[in-house]
Amino acid sequence: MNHIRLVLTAICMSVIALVIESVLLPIGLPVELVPEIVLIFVMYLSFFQTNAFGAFLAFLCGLLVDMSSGHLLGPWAGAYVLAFGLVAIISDRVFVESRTSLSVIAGVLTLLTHIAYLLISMDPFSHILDASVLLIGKAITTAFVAPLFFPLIRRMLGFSLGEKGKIRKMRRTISP
Amino acid sequence: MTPFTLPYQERRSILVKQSRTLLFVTAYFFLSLFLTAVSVRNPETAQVGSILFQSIATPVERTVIRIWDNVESVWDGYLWLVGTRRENQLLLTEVSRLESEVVRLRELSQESMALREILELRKQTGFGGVVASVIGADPSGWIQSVTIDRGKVDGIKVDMPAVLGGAVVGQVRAVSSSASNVLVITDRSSGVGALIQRSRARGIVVGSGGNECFMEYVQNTEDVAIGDTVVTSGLDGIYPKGLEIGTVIEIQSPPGEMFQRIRIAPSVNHERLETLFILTSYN
Repeated sequence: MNHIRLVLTAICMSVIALVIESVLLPIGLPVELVPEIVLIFVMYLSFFQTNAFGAFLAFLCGLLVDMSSGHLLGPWAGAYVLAFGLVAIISDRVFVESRTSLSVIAGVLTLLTHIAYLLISMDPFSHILDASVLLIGKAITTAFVAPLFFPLIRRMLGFSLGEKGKIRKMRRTISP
Repeated sequence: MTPFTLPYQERRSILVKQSRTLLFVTAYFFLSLFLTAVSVRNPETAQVGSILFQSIATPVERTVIRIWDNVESVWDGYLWLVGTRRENQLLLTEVSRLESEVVRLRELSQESMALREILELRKQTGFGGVVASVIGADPSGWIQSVTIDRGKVDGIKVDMPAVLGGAVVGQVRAVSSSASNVLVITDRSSGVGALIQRSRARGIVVGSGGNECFMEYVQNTEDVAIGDTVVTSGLDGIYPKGLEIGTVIEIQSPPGEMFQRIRIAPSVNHERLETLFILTSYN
């Protein structure tokens, strides 16, 4: 039941994030400065849903991004799953409450995810200057907004099993 | 607390769980590679996904735009005026009203100009089509495409050309019931059969992924000059002949190579598209 709820929540949040990214933010921002909100959600999942189901949710979010672009099915899904895996490896060693660490991880993850996307979709780096402006712009903006969005997502999904499990695990490790 | 400071049993269970997660990550990664390979071979697969997504997202997008318009009008028409002095309030209201009227009239004039161009095109060429408004763009920035508010119910089909005032914008790539996705000619995966209007030299115009296009497969012996107009050749079976694509801005013809590399500035700025004309019949 909780898994179904999480899947539905992930779909809803991704659709809303994509609408914000594609409709609302471009009104006042160039595309290079539109942050990767879905990626921030995947980052949240890799911290608080570090299991096989979390990987599935990251895959699902990526697939929705692929579907929104209508180009190829799979490159963003692969890139997001890789991002999930990378953060999952270090998730036990990161202090999530620190805004700086969240920013750094979000920025680096944006760069890596976009590079992974380009490699998977076999997109040639024909315009290296345009590509680097896009990559750096998106990485900086995502790093900037990640500490703002992260608590928001956390508050919205705080009831989810993943976070409760994580808190239980933390209590277990703290208690003698 | 790292797993290395925990008791053996707990450390083992964490490592087992982590390995299991990474195993699934690898599996999903390979699944996405498989999906990519499938959708490269069968673009229809990606279109099905896009149609599905558009049918979910389009109502949300429309609602968001409507809410945004309302918020903007409330902000412009009321909240902005709170706190001003009473005597200024009337003047500000009047100025605000006149300004919004000017903006509205300017918008109407722009729109009517676009529509007049479309009507002119229709009259001159006999093309039949549907006028559509742009309601969204690809958020990733890697794909140059726009979403329009017309779909299957309006007679739009995949591969139909999109134009603006006699110039090519792109082609319809995916269609849902009430919205469609148009791939702009500046996208890297776009290709248009083209010819230089003056010398009739043929080639293919491909997108650069930025704001420009390249005309490829034009032989070194062909006569091309900066400022030449590039038009559609009609040989690709998608775009009708004679539509404007852009203007030649740079020519490179390296010695020893068979083809010239021609840089083109498109006639339409896809980043500022608001209205489009989808050609539904042009034969």
